[in-house]
Amino acid sequence: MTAQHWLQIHLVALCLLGSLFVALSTRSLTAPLGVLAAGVLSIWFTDTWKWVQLNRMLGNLAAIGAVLFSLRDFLSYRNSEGQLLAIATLLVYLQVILFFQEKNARLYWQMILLSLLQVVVGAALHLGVAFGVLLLLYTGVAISTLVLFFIHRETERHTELLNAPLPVASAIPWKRLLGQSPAVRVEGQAEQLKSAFLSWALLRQIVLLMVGALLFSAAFFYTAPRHPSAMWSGPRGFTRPETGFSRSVDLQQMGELLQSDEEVMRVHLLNAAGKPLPQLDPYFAGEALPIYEIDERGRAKWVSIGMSGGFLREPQSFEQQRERGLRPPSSPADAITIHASMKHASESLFTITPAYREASTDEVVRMDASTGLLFQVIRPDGNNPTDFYFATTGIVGGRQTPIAPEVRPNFDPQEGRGKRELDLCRQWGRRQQILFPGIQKLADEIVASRNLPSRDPILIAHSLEEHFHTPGNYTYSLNLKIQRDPERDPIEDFVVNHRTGHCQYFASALVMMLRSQGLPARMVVGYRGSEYNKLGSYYMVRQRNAHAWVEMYLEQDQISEDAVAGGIVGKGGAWLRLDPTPSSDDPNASNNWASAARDWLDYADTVWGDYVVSLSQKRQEEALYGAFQGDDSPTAAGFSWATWQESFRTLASWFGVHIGGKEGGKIGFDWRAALTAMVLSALVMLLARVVRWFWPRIDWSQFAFWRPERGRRSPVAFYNRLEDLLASRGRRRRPAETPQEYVDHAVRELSLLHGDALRSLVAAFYRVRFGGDALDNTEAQAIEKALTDLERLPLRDAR
Amino acid sequence: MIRRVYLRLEGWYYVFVIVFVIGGAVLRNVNVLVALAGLMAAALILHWQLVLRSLSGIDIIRSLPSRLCAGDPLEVEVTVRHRGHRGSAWALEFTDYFQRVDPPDDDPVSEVKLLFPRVSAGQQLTRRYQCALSRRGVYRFSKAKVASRYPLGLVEGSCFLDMPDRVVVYPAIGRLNRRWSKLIEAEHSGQQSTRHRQGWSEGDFYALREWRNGDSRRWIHWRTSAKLGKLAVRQFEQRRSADVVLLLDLHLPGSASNQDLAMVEAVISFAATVVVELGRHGGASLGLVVASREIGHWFGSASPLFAQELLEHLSVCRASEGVRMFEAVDRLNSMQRGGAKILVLSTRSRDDAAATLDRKTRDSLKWRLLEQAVWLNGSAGELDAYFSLGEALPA
Repeated sequence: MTAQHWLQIHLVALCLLGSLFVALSTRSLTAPLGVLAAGVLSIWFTDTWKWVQLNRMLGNLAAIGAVLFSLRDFLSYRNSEGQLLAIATLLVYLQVILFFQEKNARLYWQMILLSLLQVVVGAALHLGVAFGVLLLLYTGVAISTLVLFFIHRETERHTELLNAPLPVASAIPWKRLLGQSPAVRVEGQAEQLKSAFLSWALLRQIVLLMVGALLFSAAFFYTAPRHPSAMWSGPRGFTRPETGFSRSVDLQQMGELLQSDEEVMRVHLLNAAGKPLPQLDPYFAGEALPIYEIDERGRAKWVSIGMSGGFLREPQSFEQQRERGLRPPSSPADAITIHASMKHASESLFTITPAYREASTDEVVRMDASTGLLFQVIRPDGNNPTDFYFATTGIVGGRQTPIAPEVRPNFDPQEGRGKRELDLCRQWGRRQQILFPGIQKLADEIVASRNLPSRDPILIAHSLEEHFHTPGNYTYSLNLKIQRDPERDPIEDFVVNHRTGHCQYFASALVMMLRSQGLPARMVVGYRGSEYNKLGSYYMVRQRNAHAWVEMYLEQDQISEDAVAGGIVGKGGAWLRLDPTPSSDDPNASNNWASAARDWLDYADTVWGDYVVSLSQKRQEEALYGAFQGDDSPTAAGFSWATWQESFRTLASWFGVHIGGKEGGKIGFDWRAALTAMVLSALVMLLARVVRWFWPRIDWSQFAFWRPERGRRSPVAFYNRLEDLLASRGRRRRPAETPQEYVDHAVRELSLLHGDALRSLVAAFYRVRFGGDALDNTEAQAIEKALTDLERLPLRDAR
Repeated sequence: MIRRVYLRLEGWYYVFVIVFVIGGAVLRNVNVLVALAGLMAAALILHWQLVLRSLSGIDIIRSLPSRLCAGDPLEVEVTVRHRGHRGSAWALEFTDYFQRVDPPDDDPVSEVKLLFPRVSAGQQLTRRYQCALSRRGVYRFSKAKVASRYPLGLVEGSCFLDMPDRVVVYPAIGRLNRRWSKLIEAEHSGQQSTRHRQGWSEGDFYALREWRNGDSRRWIHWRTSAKLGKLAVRQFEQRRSADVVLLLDLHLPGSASNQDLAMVEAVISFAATVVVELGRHGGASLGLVVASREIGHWFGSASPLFAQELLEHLSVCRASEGVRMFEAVDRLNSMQRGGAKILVLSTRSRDDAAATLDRKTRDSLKWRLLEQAVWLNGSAGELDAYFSLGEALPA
């Protein structure tokens, strides 16, 4: 294969990779397959056989057609993502057109540029780890394509003069006598010239170039200054009927819901010692929905009370809890730090209840006074943070407590807003009795059937919750293509009629059952059941983990002392979490290798997202510049071990090494180990350099004693040494060569200056080897001198 | 050695694209574009380094002949040697520059490019090129450039090497025919001539060759002819040599046409051919007077070495409108020995040449001497009778 063939193949691969960047966002393989087919066909039909070759005019016309066609798509999209997609598709069309044109340098440049533009457009459309992997591949292929393109251009330029016939003297006499401009003919074969480049050495060069480019790029990337505003983390414009969090619940949805794997956030749960808390099944509450309403279009919805300026509150801290006279956590060690890194900045925040403010909590975080849950105020410039720190006492003894104390400072169940809210949660009047007769009847039957000793709300609640868990009673399904009774309320229809639905139906039904028994309850939406990543020690929360459950209000006197492990229930009461949705078994859960692979993929995505896509100025300063900035900089105000520790800890955490806790945990850094590692590294590097320097200078013939036929004791060892020396200087003896021919050829080919001495050496060899003579001292010295002179010549690859 | 590295046009386009990507990254806060720009910039910087590495530790050796005849191919051998101990020099482009400097005619600088794909450390690579130089003169190979654009072709590194070389291109050598021999050998009755007899008849036998029209039957070597089945004749050293003095009258009209210029070249080629022929045979004296704006004259024993010296002069002589003819005749007279054959090779007729002189000068004895010489007027086609360059000379 010639350099041009390799170039064509690489160009197809480059365009294919470019189109894959686009395919990442469209989730369709049409563009890559089209590019692949066009590329392969063009290699044969256009470049090799030259059957189909669009001339420049036709190519331009086709390009104009493609632009007009794409313009229609472009204008039909309302959002920028769609318009970018139209541009990306146009780039694919243009590539396909260029494939079928006669190739020249201009065309090759255009194709390379188009594929690069695809990467640029792809960067605005999809920023997952797959983009990073593709970018690595693309870098390698792009570099090798550019190198091959260079070789192609250079050889084409020089091939014109190769073996060109020198001009014959002009037939016109005066022209011949006056002479013409000098004509040139360069000796050599075009194919030899082209193939001279293609070697393993070239491949090694390309690999080194790629590695070097990656290292440089990494250094450039992490040191290049960033703008303080948030980094672009991908589009959010595409909406699909998928599972996911919503601040209201619509029960009129039809059809099948798709499980969306889109990442929502990653959550680190750390105890006071900085150790992660694994293997929980945490509930992250996002919104409380006490109001069930049917709008003017007849759609049944759960909605929140709503936020207004008057209801915004500072999140509570532990200290404030103490000041209010409530029972604080028995010790600070009970507090768990929640570090949530959200994929996109959103108004809703998701926390384990009860959530408190801590020192690192961002100022944009507020508490919704109507629900007690946290959210963030969206700044006018949209430059909101995505990393949040909270504290919670909702995890005790390695599990999430079912009862979360009410943390709103002014919440009073007997009066004011507290009472009005609980009234909403308790709402069960004549209208409800008409709407939900089946639910009331069923709830009554369940409670009656349990023969409860008292009207203990917790027991009633658990009885009703258990009803949904009883196998055979209900079917959990995301497929809502079921026969519904349009005359019935969807919740009533769910309980009485089809008994098939997802978490929102289960939660709705339980809320209504609790209310039918006079118990205040509300629906809560958020996330549950995230995947714990052992590599990164975090919980990965995806849209498919979106969940709805129920919270029932308990007054202070309805809760026993030991029911709340945290022990901080005040007069505001608490909320009991109930989850009526039957658990669905995850088929992959038991598959260890699949789980491990998923962990790796998630972790790669996390690292990519955190340290490439979302690398912000703040994070950059924390890890790279922090140690060198500020008053406590080691260079500014003496050595600050703490600053260096913090920088080192942050830097290590980039690579998945979490050292110590955030709150004063000790860094597990041993200076002896570090010093030893540094000294060892230096020694290894030094040794490598020494070996590299000595290796070519070692006379291997001295160690040839283990080769009997070439040993030093042989009377012709001097000749063997000569062969070794010549071989290491680029000329091995060929099978058909006699020693004399070999030396003659080597002297000529290597342009050796002391050819006579070597020829005398060979003559001596013949005499010793075949004549049985021995060398005298003078001869031996002359031979030794010739061999020593030869040793001084530089080494080169043997041919 | 002056070394410089610069961005080529493609390199500037590449930088523009990097700026475009960085612009996108900054304006939209897209980190991935920062990484992409970093990759592109890295490729450019490493490219820069590789170009510099390719040019370091390189020795260039050029070997070429110092003289040749116009029309003969000039063979140049270029060897690139890598002195380093590791790595390779990739895609080295050697550019040779040469120019005809004498006679100075503002000839353009010609260049030849050779590509050395890869020269490994400690090795050398040789490439050759041939160049057809059809104009006589002195060519100067003053400098050479070695450049590398490896591996991406965006950056070019080059260094200029001082490699002075000089090639003298003699006038084209043609063929003198039999009439020329007769002209030289002819016994001009009433004239004195110096003859050096060599041998008893045709001269000393030195080789056999095929029979040609005009060969004497006495020269046929019958035994060899019988063996070969075709006639073979003996060749002899020239039996006799006459002293010859050549006068080149290189007159060029004021508004010279290409035909006129070609005529000058034809006359010089003829003279060069005569010099080579006489030098090859040797044995006699040979004089040359070149009449133009300047007068040049050389005299010596005909030998290959002297012929070479005369060729050097012929390769750089120039024609002129104002030929100092009488001075040339004066030089001719000074070197003319009794009986030497005088040949005037001119671009004009004897009368035209005489017309440039005043009457007194024309009547002088020296001029009369010239009137007795053989005058070959190139413009009248008189050279054709004795000489050919393989084709007809300009009419």
